[in-house]
Amino acid sequence: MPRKAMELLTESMFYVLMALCREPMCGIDIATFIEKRTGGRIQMGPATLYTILGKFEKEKYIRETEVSGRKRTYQVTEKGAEAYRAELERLRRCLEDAESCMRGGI
Amino acid sequence: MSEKRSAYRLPPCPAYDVEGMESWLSDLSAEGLELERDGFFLGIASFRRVETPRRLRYRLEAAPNSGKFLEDDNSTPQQEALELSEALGWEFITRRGDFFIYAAPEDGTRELNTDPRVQALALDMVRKRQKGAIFRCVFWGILYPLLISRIPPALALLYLPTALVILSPILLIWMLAGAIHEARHLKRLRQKLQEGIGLDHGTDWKQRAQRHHIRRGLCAGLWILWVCLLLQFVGLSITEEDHIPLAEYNAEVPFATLEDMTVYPAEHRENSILSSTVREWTTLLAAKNYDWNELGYITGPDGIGFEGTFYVEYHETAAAWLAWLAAQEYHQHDKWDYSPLFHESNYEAIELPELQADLAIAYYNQYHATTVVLQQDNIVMRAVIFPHRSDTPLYSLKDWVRVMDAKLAEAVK
Repeated sequence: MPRKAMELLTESMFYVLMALCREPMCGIDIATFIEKRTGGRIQMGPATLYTILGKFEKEKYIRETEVSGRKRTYQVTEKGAEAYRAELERLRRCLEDAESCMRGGI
Repeated sequence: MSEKRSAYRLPPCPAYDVEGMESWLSDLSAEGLELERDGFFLGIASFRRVETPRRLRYRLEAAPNSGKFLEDDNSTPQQEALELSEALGWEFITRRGDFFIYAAPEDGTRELNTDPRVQALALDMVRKRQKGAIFRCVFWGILYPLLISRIPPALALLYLPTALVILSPILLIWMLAGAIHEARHLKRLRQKLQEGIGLDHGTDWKQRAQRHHIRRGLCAGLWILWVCLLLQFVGLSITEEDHIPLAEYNAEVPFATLEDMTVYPAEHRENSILSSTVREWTTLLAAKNYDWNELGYITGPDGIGFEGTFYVEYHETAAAWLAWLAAQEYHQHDKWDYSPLFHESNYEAIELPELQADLAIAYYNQYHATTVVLQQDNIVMRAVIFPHRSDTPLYSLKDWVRVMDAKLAEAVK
């Protein structure tokens, strides 16, 4: 059955949720966290990050907790944490299948 | 780097051609032209010349909210988006259409969008707004003019000049085609992004530039022509320069006039408000049209006078169905026309004798003037007689209508 748009998290979306599951952050801190975590492999573009934050807020995956000047701090919601765990589980199974495939030669 | 002076350019592609716009702006920056803050006005881009040209990256980002009526409304992104962009090396420049434009140096700065699938989500907001554009075309192009003018559509076709009748649907179709083209372009762009393919920031914008300029020039020319024709039409309606005084008009008319309603001689006069005039015109859908206004005075042998106004609107249309439709519109317009003085309709139907006309309706209109609408084949007319004094030598309504009907039947032959 095809998955709906928000069920399918892109890599960028996954890492944003990862950052916010760790602790509440503002946008620039999320970008910095992702860059450090991936060793520079993912350098989040500002428009990408801003679109993801807007989409997640609309889908109630995250909520705004603090506004300080132009900075807005976000926190993951239970719905967002659940989506993150589901994606993590999916990726883990993909990895397990791939590794067992490598071992078994199938 | 010092600023020298401004330069102006016409964009070679529409606002929604994201790849074309990005490529064009980047190419111009390499020539020393950098887009100015709030750099779009009425579709013209304004640039500052820099002494040392440097190639900039320009990127268009879908705006989350619709802009104002004008394509270039110079609204800005939200503060948080501005802060994020600046922190990561991107400067917000201006807005054009549904897109914000950002710039950054060619090297070093990460891309504005690093995930095509997320960019596709942002584009969805623009596409949703686009769907409304087609409905807006229909509303502003058809419904709104009819609502504002209060002229029923078939009668509008008979009264409006041929050039306006031809040009109006052309412009409407052009607007609709433009909206559909934009919707299809954005759909293709979205599909590309959804497949994970990034945009081509170096696309060859020159290829389509000439076609785009020709299209824009033609469209602007047609709109200017349309506005001029409309102003001319409205101007003539107000000044009545094309109305000929009856005293100077010698041609025969194909309908009955005041003279035909009485055995006594009728005289035309003018007062400070009314004058006896006729207007003749031809349109695409009606070869002959008359607007007859007669302020008549009739004196009988015993001195009893008649003073009144007699109006005729007469059209020889291109088809019987059009004449029938116009007749219905005349009738309905009068029936539902409420008197501003009495705040109610004074409409009252009048019974008519058997006539030759295909359609014959008589009534008192909101001003209690006797009105008759006749239609036979492709000819339709509405006659209104409004006596200012009623003590006299005119035919009765039934005889009057028979005279009009007979004259109409002759015209049809």
